[in-house]
Amino acid sequence: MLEIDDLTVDYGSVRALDHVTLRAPLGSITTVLGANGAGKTTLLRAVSGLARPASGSISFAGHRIDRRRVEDIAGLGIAHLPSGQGVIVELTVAENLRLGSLISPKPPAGRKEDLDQVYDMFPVLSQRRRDVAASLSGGERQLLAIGTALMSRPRLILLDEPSLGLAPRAVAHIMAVLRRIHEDSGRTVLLVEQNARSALSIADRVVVLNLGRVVIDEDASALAADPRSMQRLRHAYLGF
Amino acid sequence: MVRFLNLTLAGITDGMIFATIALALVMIFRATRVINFAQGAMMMLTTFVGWTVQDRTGSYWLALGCALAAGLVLGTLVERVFIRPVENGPELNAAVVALGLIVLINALASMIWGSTPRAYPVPFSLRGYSVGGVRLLLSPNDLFTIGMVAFTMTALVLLFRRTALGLRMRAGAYSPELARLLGVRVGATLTIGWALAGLIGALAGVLIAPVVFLGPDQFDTVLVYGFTAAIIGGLESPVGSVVGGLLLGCTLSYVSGYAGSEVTSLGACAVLLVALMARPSGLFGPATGRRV
Repeated sequence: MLEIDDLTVDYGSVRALDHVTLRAPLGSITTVLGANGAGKTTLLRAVSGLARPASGSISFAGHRIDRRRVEDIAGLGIAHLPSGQGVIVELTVAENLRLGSLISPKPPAGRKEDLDQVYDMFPVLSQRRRDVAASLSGGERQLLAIGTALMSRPRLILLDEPSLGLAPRAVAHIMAVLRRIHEDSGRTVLLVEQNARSALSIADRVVVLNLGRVVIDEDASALAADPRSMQRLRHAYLGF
Repeated sequence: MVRFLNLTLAGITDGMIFATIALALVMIFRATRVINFAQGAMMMLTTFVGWTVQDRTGSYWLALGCALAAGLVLGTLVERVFIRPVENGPELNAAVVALGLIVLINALASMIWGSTPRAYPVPFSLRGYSVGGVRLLLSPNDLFTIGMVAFTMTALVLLFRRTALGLRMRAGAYSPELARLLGVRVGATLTIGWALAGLIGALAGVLIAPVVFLGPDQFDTVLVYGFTAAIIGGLESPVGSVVGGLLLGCTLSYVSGYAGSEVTSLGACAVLLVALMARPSGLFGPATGRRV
């Protein structure tokens, strides 16, 4: 589904990603873990076109996307939810969701069904559809961001630290939602997290970045069962 | 009482024109954070296009159409050619480019049309209606002005609130990066915003030209009032520009009617000061300060 090969991204003289290769197979949840500055956010920004690679390639569903425009990449069915501010706070809940559905010309009937599904899944959004997104709590905004992404019928969802700044209960809720979306529709998810425990609870595959390099890439269940891998994971985070 | 009514009516007509200019400024500021100092020069140029068509064909309506079309084209050109290259730099860059555009457009207009002010015709009578033997300061042409502005405002509100394009434009203005991630072609929506601002400015130019005459510098005073109206309204809100325009138009009308026309601009200053003292970010501006 998503194939990243030998990807290098520089910010000026700083190398954010250093020859990264990873796969997000169709229908899987892949989580990318790592400490601050490991290059997780840059990885997602490179996939959605916000960061330009210095070298290497990114392919989605068999097509090279690493030189295409952000808007076009979005149009291919890649939804990127940046960390923190994933919704347009000046627009209402309903407007944010509608914006998601505008990504490709679809019959309005389909849009209505999508909208009903999102409101079904997140009743809190349904109650507050006329409120501006700025009035939502952090957790509600995250749900709205996910709902907006779903409205665009994405084939691949890129999530950047959806747990950031949320209370533990809200984090658990978000993870359950992701699991459910994945199970309901088989969508491919690439989940960037600092919160390793939450991410591991739902992921099929784990990639750990450290200073822009891939240091671990294996099945989530295998990683959890292998103390040596867990130790390497801790090392990538804490440096010991 | 009749005097008060008349001054109010005259104030509303003027205010609607200030509101139109304010609206053009607000459209661009909202989308690009640029205060388009060249708005006056742009509307002067498009009004000259209208004047030329009127001169050749004698048709007011064809001239109006051509001026509006010229506004669309000019707005697009200015954004693509002059503003786009400096868009990612500091905001001051775009302001300086806009100031340069004033010089450029003024020179161009002086070369083509000369600097003598010219008369611009009106489509309807300027004779005020009379009610019960009392002549009102409201003519069919004033009604036309008010109607045109009201129609444009309504159309814009509908565009922004009801259409997919309007939603995309607002998303692109509020949050360009997120909008792009949702597939909005933000570059295109910005251009459309400038084109619409050019159109609105062109309308304001044609409506005000019969009053102040048409020449390279004739619009300066009106432009200052348009800026004032936009700032009273908060620079971000289309509704604010209408309210700001009407407030300013009526105040100026009362000041010049009761105190004398020589202190009119003091009146503008006073209403601006009072509005900004009451609400520093404008009547309809953001309640909190903008975080940088």
